[in-house]
Amino acid sequence: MWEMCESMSKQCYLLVILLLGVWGLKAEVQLQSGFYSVSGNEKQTYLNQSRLDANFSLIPNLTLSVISKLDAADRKVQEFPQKKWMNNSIGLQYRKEHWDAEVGYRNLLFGNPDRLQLYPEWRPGTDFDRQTQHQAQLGIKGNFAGLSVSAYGINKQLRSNPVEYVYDFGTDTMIPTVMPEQSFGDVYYGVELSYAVKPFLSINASTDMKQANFTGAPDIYKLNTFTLGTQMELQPISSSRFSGTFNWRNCDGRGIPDITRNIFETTLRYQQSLGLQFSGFISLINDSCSDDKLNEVYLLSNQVRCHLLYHFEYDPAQASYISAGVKHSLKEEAIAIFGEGQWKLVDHVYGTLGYRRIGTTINNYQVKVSYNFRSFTECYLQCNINDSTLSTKPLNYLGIGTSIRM
Amino acid sequence: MKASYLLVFITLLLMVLGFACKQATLTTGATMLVYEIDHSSCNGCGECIRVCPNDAIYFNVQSKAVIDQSKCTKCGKCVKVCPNSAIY
Ligand code: SF4
Ligand code: SF4
Repeated sequence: MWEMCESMSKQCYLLVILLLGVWGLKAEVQLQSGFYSVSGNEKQTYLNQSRLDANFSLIPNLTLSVISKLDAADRKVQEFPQKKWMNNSIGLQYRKEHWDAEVGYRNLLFGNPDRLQLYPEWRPGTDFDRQTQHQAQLGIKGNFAGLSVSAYGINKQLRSNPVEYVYDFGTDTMIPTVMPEQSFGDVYYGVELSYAVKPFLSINASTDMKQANFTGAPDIYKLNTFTLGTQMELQPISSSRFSGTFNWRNCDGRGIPDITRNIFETTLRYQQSLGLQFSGFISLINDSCSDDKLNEVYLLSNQVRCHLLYHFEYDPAQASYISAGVKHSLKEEAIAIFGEGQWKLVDHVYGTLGYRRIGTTINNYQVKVSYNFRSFTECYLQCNINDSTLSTKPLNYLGIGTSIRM
Repeated sequence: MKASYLLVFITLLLMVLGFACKQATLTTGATMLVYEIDHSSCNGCGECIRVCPNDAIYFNVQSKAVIDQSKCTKCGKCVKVCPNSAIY
């Protein structure tokens, strides 16, 4: 616990030092923090959610971006298997003419984690306390006369403490023994080639590889995929866009069931806007699969999603809107409905009402009143209530927060 | 140019037909699970990574979540917590 807090505060210090170091540069910084009282199921608890987003323009074409997110509660909330969680990332992006390159580092810190199996096929009967995860990544993309080439590499290291159980004949119980910290690596890398046959039509081929990088890692965690696809995008009039993709992905890995060796993914999306006020889209995603011999094609999922957004003309800040959406998933056999509206009540004061219905089991209501000092800078009071038929109820939140754009 | 539009139209029509045909195979009861993430709806919040009991989700270089199919045990926990319903 203390190690975790210490580690989290070290991260915060590093962030502050970094922010001071780049002070004075052309920057966009957004800071958000909310403090909530959480109730439902077990005893009431408190939750703090904070987030920092910063973008700095170092020299022309070179940008530094920093994101830090913290969720900390007195007890585990919802299904998250830890009380505290921190997600930090830092990335350098370089963009010039035909080139786009990025190098980044990200880490996740898990505070008071549950014991999980993590690698069930590797060491059955052993649980793991997930502590930290470090990820280094590199991506590069070049675009030359319709031919685009991209490559990436990701190295992820998970540090955790294995916990082994020894049977105690005296007490007739399994006694957990925490073993020394162990690191588990996953390496992901791949390349993609894409060629624009016509301005609206392109074809692409890519290969992605994954290797588990730790002593004794079984083959089951190895995975190679090869993808062939086509993409199209039409803009019949400037206010609408029609796009579609079709990808065939061949997966080669011992852990992949035979029947899902070949995946066919089709997406269609239509976007329409009417002036500055109205915009919307409808998208369809279909996934099907087949075995190596391509004998028969089976349906994996069909999903339809539709979103509409209308901005009220009376608010020049464009912050008064009403939006609605629906998603139907055949796999889940469920419809999710979302609706949200935000209205300017009096000068600087906005009211938000939201509703989400997930399947037939959860109705979620949100109410928020905020005072906007200027755009993206506000303080608010927020309430999030769930009405559910589930035996483990989703939690209700009531809290205050601030968001500052610097 | 007209020919190109015709080609696009035919391809899109085939895609739509694909939806309809594959729908028919569902009625044979041959549905199975492979969870995927719709990257146009993913905002990179990381809630799915946080909840996954198998360390089976990671961020790609565009900061979108990706499911490592070699580790995923199809428990469905990530689907429940995603605020954007991006996992299907
Ligand atoms: S929870 Fe959903 S939106 Fe968040 S990173 Fe995962 S897939 Fe993306
Ligand atoms: S279905 Fe379960 S194991 Fe698979 S990615 Fe989601 S949370 Fe992880």
